[in-house]
Amino acid sequence: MPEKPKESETATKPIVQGELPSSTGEKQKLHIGLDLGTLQSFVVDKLNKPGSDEVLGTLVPTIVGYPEDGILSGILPGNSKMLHGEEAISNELHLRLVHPLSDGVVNDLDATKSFLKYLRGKVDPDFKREVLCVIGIPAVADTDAKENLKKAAKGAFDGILFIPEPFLAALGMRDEDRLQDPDYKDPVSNSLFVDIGAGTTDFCIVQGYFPKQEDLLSIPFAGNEVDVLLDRAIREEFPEVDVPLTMIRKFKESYSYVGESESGARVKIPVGGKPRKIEIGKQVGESCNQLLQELFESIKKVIAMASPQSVFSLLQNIILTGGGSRIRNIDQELQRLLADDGYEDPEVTISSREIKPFVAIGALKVAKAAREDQWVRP
Amino acid sequence: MSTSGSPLEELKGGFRRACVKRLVGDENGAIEVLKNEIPLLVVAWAKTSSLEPAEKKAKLKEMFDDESARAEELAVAFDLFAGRFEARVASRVQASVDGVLTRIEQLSEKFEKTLSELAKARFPVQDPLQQEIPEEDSPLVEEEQVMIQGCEKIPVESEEEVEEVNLDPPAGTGLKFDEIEEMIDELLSSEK
Repeated sequence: MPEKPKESETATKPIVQGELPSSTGEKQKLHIGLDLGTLQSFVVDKLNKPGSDEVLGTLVPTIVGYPEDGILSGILPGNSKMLHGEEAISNELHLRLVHPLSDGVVNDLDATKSFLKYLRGKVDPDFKREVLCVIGIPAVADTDAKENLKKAAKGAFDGILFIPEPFLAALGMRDEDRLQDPDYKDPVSNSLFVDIGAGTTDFCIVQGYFPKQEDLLSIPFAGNEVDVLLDRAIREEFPEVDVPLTMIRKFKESYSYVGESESGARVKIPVGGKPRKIEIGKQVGESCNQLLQELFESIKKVIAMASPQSVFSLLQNIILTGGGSRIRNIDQELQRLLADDGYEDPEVTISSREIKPFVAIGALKVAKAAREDQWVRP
Repeated sequence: MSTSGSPLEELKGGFRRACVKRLVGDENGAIEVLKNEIPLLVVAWAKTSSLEPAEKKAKLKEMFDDESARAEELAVAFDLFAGRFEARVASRVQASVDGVLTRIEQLSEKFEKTLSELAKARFPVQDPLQQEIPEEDSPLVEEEQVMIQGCEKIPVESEEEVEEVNLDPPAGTGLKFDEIEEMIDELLSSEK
C-alpha cells in the first residue's frame, strides 16, 4: 500500500486564473460525494452529525436545456445559453431538454460536461477550491463508460474517483457511530442490496467485505422502463391521450404500487386542450409489477451466487434502496414472491422511506478516506 | 438563583439572566424569569430603597436597559470569539483529532488482526472448572489443585460465535468496509 504523501506534497497544482490561493498558496480542498443518476443527481459535501437524520446535500434533476432557436431575449433567466436542473425544467417550454446520461452512463458528453460544471458551481460557487469528487457509477460500468465520464469531469473537478454504486449505497447506509451499539444491525455484515434507480437496478451481496466486480449484477430495467411501460399502457387504453413522458413519470411517482390491481388513480390530462380525468390505477400497477417481476428474477440469480453457509441469514437482509424502493408495497410483494417460491423466511426492507442520498453519502465517506495519490486527475 | 448580595444586585442579576436567556433563544426561560423571579426581586429591592416611586420606576428601567445592553455586548463578543475560534482553532483541532483517530484505527486494525489470527489458531481450551477434580490419591500435587481451583473461567466461543465464524470465508475482495483506502487501491489496480 503506498504511503500517504506528506502535506507538502499534496498541493503542488499550479494556481490558475480565477483561483484564489490560501495564505499558504494552497487551494483549500473540498471533498464531495456525487450520486450521478440518470434522472436525478445528489451532491453532498457534508456528513450528518452523529444521531442526526437531517438530509444534507443538494438534489438536482440530471438535465440540461438548450434554448430553442430564435428565442426572444429576456425570456430565459440571464439570457442563458444553457440551463440545468430545476431551472431547465421550469423553462422547458423554451428549451430543448437533453438527458446527459442514459442507463447511468454518459449519453451526451457535452451535456454531461456542462452538467458536472454546474454541480461544481453548486458546491463551490467561486471555483476557488480544489474539488475532489467521488462519483457513483453503475455496478457494471465498462471501461468506455468510465473513460467518457472522466472526459466529462475534466474542468469540473480537480480529482475524481469512480466507485460502484452498490458499494457506496452500503457504505452510505452504515452508521459508523453505532457500530458498538449491540442493538445496531450493521447493514454491511450480510445483506443483499438492491438499488433501484432510473436507468439501472443494481444488485450486490455485501458480507462485511467489499464485493468483487463479478459479484455485482446490474440490469437495465428500472424506473425509466416503468415510465415507458406506463406510457404505452395509457396510450393503448386511451388512444386520444398524448402527454409527455415527464408527465407520465409524475403520475407514476404519485400513484406507484405493486401487487393486486387497484383503482383510484385519477389524473387530469389535457385532451385537445380541454381537461379530462382518466383512471390509470390498473396501468400503473401493471407497469410497476413488471419491474417487480424483473427484480424477483434477478434476485433469484443473485441469491444463487451466495454461499450455502450464509444464504439463510442473507435472505433476511434484503435491502431495497434508490427511487424505485419508494414504490408502495414493493418490499412486501417481493418478500411474498420469494416466500411463495420456497425461500425460507425472506425479509425485505426499505433502506429509508424518505429520499436519502445513501450513494452520495457513501461517496463522500470514500472521498474523505482517499489518499492524495489515489485521486485521478481528469 | 443567587441568594447572596444586596437586593439591588440580585435584581440586576435577575434582569441579566432574563436577557441572556432571550439572547440564546430561550424565550420561555426569559419569560419564566420575568414572570416569576423579577416581581419578587423588585418588591425586595423596593422595600429597601428610599427613592420616590417615579424614581424607582426610572431606576428599574435604567437597570433593565443596562443589563440588556451588557448581554448584547456579551453576545457580540461571543460571536466574534466563536467565529475566530472556528476559523483559527477548530480546523487545527480537527486535524489533530483526525491524526489521533487514524492512529487509533490503525491500532484497532492490528488488534483485530491479532484477534482473528488467534481465533484462526483456535487452540482447544478446556474449561478448567469443568475439569474433573482428581481424587485425593491422584498424583496431582496439591499446588496444582490450588491453581486449577483458583483459575478463572476462560471464555470459550459460544455456539453462536462458532456458527458465525463458520459462516463464509472472506467474500468479495476480502477487504472490510473500514478499509476504504485499500478498496480504492484494488479498484484502481483492476482498471489498469
